[in-house]
Amino acid sequence: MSGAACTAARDAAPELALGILDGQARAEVLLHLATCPHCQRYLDEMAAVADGVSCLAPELEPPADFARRIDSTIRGARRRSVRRWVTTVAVTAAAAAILSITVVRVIDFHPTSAHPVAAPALRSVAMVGSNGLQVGHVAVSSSSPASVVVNVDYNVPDGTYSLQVRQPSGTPRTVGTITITGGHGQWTGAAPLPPAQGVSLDLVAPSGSVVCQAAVNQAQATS
Amino acid sequence: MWSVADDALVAGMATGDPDAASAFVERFQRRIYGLAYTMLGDVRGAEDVAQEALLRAWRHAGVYDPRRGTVVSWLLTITRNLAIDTMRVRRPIAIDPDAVLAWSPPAPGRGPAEAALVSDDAGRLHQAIATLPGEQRRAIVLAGIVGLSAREVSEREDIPLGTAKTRIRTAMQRLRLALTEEHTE
Repeated sequence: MSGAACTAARDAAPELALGILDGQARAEVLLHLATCPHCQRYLDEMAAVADGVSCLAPELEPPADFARRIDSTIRGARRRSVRRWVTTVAVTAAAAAILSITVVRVIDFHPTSAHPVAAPALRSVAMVGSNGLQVGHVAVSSSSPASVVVNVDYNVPDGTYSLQVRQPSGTPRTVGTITITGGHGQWTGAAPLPPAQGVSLDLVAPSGSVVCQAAVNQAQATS
Repeated sequence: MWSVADDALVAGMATGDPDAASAFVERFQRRIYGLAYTMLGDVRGAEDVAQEALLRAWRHAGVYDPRRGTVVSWLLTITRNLAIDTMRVRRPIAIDPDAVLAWSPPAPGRGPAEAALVSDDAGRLHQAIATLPGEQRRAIVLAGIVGLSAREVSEREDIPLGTAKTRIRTAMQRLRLALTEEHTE
């Protein structure tokens, strides 16, 4: 922690708290906050002010039927979800039965070849966007290079973003692209994650701004 | 029937309880619609944004983390982001920050946390914002309620980016001080 870093973080804290700080500046502040409880406390106070300011917009009565329409959507989706769940359970049960029969036959046919292979350990890391909201998660394996699954399911505008591994020192390295459609997106691939603290996997907009990031590093992934 | 805390209501939604979802919509619809209308200035757009915000909150109730902020701020952030996306697609923002502040502070909400927030901090903040110099007041409304970035504030107000950042920062620092002083009195 240095005086200059604290000064820079505190200067940027109001914009970060309001959710309007973009790109590299936000990433740098977030990295500093992870190691500086004093600045984190200052940001928390700014966030309380930002929350209060948002609440100053007036309450207004929505058009008639507004709540009823949302209620119908939710209850309708829930009924469809229950039907899908029942179908999924039935299909999964059938698949499991078929698989178990197949496995038994394979083992019977090759009785000495069934060596158990340990799967790489997986760790789930939150992907965090502006205002500290969780927008998805990243699953990272302990293998090298790590197998990575990125799931975004909330609060990221539709579009194509690059996925970059960023270290506290050094230039970011692009490992792939992810397309968000209807607020959702997934990417699966391999990524070399340096065994150092402070490594993040960032979703970067074409403008270069960091939309959200997950604090991944190999040291944590193997713990 | 649903005089439960806001985060308990979200927890109920996360379990798939449709009655919890109905109570959630009833509790927050005016606040969400009010923010969307303030930002967009038209009924149809505000209705679309408010509906999508409430449905997103329902779909993602399971990832809500009370340690990261109140339900109200979570929901307002969703709404604000959706409204910003809509505004940027449709047209330049036509909101008048002075008109936003001409409204009274919001009426007490229906959730205990929201009611506490309104009765304490919102009234104080409204008062503190009123004492800010005009240019800082406009900057904080544009950034904090409308959700404009410092660059957008600078373009809208026709001032250098550094000046816009300074106005936002100074206003936030003064408001923080006002709240801190109130709490320590």
